[in-house]
This record gives sequence, C-alpha cells and structure tokens, in this order.
Amino acid sequence: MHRDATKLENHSVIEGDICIVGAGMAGIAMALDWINTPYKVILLEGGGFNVESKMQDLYRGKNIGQRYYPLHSQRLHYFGGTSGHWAGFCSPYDPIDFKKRDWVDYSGWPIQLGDLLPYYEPAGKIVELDSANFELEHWKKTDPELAPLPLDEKVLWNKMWQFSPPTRFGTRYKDTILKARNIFLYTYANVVNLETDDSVSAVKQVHIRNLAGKEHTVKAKCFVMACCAIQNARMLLASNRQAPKGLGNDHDLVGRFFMDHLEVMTSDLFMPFAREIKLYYPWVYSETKVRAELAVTESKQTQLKILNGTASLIPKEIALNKPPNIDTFPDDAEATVQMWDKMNNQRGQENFGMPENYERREFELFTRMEQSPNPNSRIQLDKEKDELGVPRVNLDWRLSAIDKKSIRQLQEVLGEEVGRSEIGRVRLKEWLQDENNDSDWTSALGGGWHNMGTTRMSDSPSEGVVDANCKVFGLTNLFMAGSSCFTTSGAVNPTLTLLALTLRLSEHLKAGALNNFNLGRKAV
Amino acid sequence: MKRRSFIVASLLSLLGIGAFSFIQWIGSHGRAKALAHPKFLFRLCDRSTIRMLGRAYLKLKPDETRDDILLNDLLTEKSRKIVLEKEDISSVESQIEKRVKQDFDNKNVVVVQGWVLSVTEARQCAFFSILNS
Repeated sequence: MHRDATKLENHSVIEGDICIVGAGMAGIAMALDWINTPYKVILLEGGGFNVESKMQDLYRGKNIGQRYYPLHSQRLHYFGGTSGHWAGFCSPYDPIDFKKRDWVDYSGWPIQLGDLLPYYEPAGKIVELDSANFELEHWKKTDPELAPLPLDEKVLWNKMWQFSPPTRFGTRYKDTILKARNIFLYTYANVVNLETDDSVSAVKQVHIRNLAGKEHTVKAKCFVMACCAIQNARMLLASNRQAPKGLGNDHDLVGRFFMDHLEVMTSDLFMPFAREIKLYYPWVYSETKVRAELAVTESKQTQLKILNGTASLIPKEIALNKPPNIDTFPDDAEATVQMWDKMNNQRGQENFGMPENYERREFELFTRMEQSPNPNSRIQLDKEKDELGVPRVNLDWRLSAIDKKSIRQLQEVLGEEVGRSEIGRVRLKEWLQDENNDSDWTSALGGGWHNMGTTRMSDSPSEGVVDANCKVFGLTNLFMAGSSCFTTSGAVNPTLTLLALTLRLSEHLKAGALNNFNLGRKAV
Repeated sequence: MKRRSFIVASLLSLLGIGAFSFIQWIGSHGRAKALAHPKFLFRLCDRSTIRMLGRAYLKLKPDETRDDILLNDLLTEKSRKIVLEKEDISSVESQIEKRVKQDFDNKNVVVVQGWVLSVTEARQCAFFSILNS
C-alpha cells in the first residue's frame, strides 16, 4: 500500500509495528523480508518515485576535508535510493575484514564473516546475481578461458566479482512493495526528528515533514534507520532535543569514522607476453557477469602490515581516455540517473567497447583500497538548515598514512609478482613514488561513493554506536541498517555486505526482538 | 694477449682505480655492451628511458659508482673471465637473466623512478647509462 504524505491530512498519526526509515536498498530489502508477516510495517521514504532536484537539495552539505563528491548528488533521495545510479558491483567481504588487526587502529568487528555468510546468498538474489558462488574454480568450469595470471597464490589471489543487471530497486520492487498487504509505504515522508521517552531509553515516535508543509507523526514499537551512512548519522545528531549531543552519542562517536574506498589509477602494468586475460577484462555495463581483481592475501597483508585492497587491469587506451571519477561526477543527480538510464537502453551495444579488441600489452592498474577507520574523518551538523529545518551536514573526509602506504605496497607486491613470473613489469605513478611521503595525495583520488562507518558497530558503547545486532547503544528499539554500521570498510564495494547485514538484522528483529517489542498486533 | 688483458684489469681493480675505469675498459669492447642490455626492459622502454633509469639507480646507490660492485654483481668470476677473454657472451646473458628471476624470487628488488625492478636489471640500466653517457 502506498500513501503520499503530502496528501495526508496535516498532523496525521501513523502507527505500525515496525518503522523503516528510508526506502533505499537496505530499507527495501528489509521491507521485502517482512512481507506476509503478521506485522504492520511502515516504510518511510523522503522522496517520491522519481529523482527530483528539490528532494536532492535536502542532502546538500559541505565538503570540508579531502576532496569528495557533491553530497546532494552522490546519494539519491527517492524510492529505490542510490540503486538508481548503482553500477552493480558485488563481492563479499573477506575474513580479514572483520578481524582485529594490530596494525590497523580501530579494526575488529564484533561479528565475523561466518555470521554474515548465511545472508549473502539471499542478498545476492535481491540484486539478481546469477550465482552465490564467488570461487574462481567454480567460474572456470563455466568458462575455461577465465585463466588466472601465473602469480603466487600465497601473495596475490583472484578476488571474484559478480555484477548485478544492475537491479534498480525503485522499479524492480515497486509493485511488490505496493501490493504487499502489510507494508505501508509513505513517500515524501522525511524524518526530521526522533523523539524518545523521558529517560531517553527508547524511541517513542518520529516526526516527518515534507516540502508541502505537512507534518505527521509515526509511532511504532521498533525503528530501523536505513537512510544511508551520512543521513543515519545526521538524524541521530539532529535528534537532540532530549539528548543534547544527539541520540546514541554519549561517547561522541556518531558521525565519526566516515569511510569510503580509495579508488584511483596507481600504476602502469606492462605485460608484453599476456595472452589470456579474459578473467580480468574491464567491466562492461550490463555485459560483464563475472571477473576478477588481483588482491593481496591475508598472510601478505599481515606480513606487510597493510590494508586490504584490490587492483583491476584497465587497458591503456581506456585509461588514457578516462578522466578521474572525482573530476567528472555530476553535480546534478537527475543527470546521473538519466545517464544510467541511457546506458541501460544501450544494453548489448558496445557502450564501453568490447574488451577483447583492446591492446593487451599495456594496462593501468586501478586500485580499490580499504580506508582505515579514522575518528577524525567525520560528518558534523552545520549551522545552516535545509528547507525542512534539519541542520545540514559537513563532511570532513580524512585519510591516514597507512592508506597511502597500503596502496604503494600493493603496487610493489604486484611488481614483484609479475617480475617473478616473468610476465611483466610495474611502474608506480609519480604520486606514489616517494616512500617517505604518505600524506600527499593525487588530485585524481576519489572514493567509490561508498559511504560507511558513521554509526560503527562495536562490542562496547565507548567504541561504537551500535552493537553486534545493529541496535543503538542505550536505546532499546532503535536500529541502524546499512553500511553506517560497518566497523571497517573492507576492500570491495559494500552493497552485497550491507544487504547481508540488513537481512541479518531483519531476522534478528523477527526472531528475538519481536517479543521484547511486543509486536503482536495483526496488521491486516 | 687475453691473459694480459685479464691481468691488467685485475691489477687496475686492485689498485683501486675503481669501477669507472673498468667499465670504460669493458665498454670499449662492443661485445661487452650486451651486459648493459636489460632484455625484458628493452621490450618495454626506449634507450633514453633505460639511461634515465640507470642514472636514477646510481643516484639511489652512489656507492655503486665508486667501486666495482656494479660489475661484480653483474658478473660472476666465471662470466667475468668469459667477457675478458672474448668468448661466447650468450652464456653470460643467460646467467644474468637467471639472476633477474632469482632477484624477484628473493625479493631483491628496487623501485627506480616508480619501476619495480630486479636489482640486477637496475644495475644493467646503470651500466647502460655509463656506457652511453
């Protein structure tokens, strides 16, 4: 069922068992999981069914640190969320991503990969992957031409990726959500404040507003924030009427540890004798189903004391014509979505050229590096407010020396390995060559539009905002869904993992927490 | 005559005249230039790049310009003899190629101007830069 909150009578009170705030990938994934349960699910979406500049403007904020993408266009504020300009890259996290590493400050999740494994397969189904298998051996059986480079498997391994069509949640799941008898979707329902009980131990209700001037209240037993990493933290910080520092922020951690992946061209790879490189072909929109990136093994990371990262091979002729993402990301979210729609309509055509036609001797290595958790990399509220009266955010994205050191050492390891196997040589880009300089970055450095870490997961409220079940410390019924809960960023894109984590949260709420919240009322 | 050349060269080394003279002496023999030919790199780079890499390596390792480490490391005693006695140099080239591989196996690598090189091939570049300075 769908209601447009601009058309409701002003000051309506909406009631349900569980309230999911945000109908992006995490929010929709959770709502799908609650269809046909006996519970009334309120799904709140700030935008409508199409990208609109006036809605995107509510996300506007200042970048005051390391150069970053425009905050009002890198995330999409409508039903389906940022899946609207998602490229579809999927790969699970590695065991090391969850471990405490003594060379990575603030590392170590309270859960391990094994806790998420059961949820990766259903997450993959949501984004319409062909298989739940990410092992190279499996894919080699489907295509013997997917041959790996002859590198030492103890040093470098082939991290497999699969590619979603990509699934646009807003179109793919709209009908399903609207037809679900127990899911109540409200569009143009922007949460502007979370109101707790007097003891600030539980969220009592949330207040929503829209640009039509309507204000409503939503009451539920349990609230799940699924608004993306920046907005999740923003809402906690902005809900400061009863808790002056914001909800869940007794230890000044909300908004800190903002992370993205560091994505940049890092070196040249010369392979005069390369023949079979199909496994590493560059991704072609809607064509590529699977491919590998070269990743440093856990033991090598441990030996070198570096972060997790991967490198992909970009044929030189593509690389030369590809300006850095950070220079080209549009300021206009509507244009971004239109660009992807246009590509979507060109499926099957040579939209990026066919990789098998590329010169195979020279490549640039495109590195995707984990960012180490950094408490000074953070979002904070600005004095300026958006049109609905919510303080805007400032993003102070900050990087650390180990981030650059790790990128450099990944190139060196690759150089050693292609040299050892007598297939090539690597040349680091100039900005990486000074091993005594781990603080200056190239202007070409960008993130992967992967916002993570602002309500990080921990065992202890002094070290994190949410517990192992994504529940905000100190509040009995407030949960965070999505990558804001990530303790570390891992090497690969977060989508599949954030969906798996969301499904785990969903199961947790259904199983144990339901009794605690006394969610017994029939919705239909 | 061959024996005399070898003795002269050895004496020069012993007298501490140093690698530069020795290199010049070897360089004057066209066949010896093969030692200054990092085979794999020459598939990827032009002569000026190899020369630039050689200079950069010597800047990184100034000690190797002052004594005969550069050649000592490129040539085993046996291959040094082959070079001086003008015998078939291909076996020396093949020995150097093996050492390049061994360098990578043993992580005996050096980053020169961003290039991740085996120390042996970096020394070949250095040799090339001296011969072609």
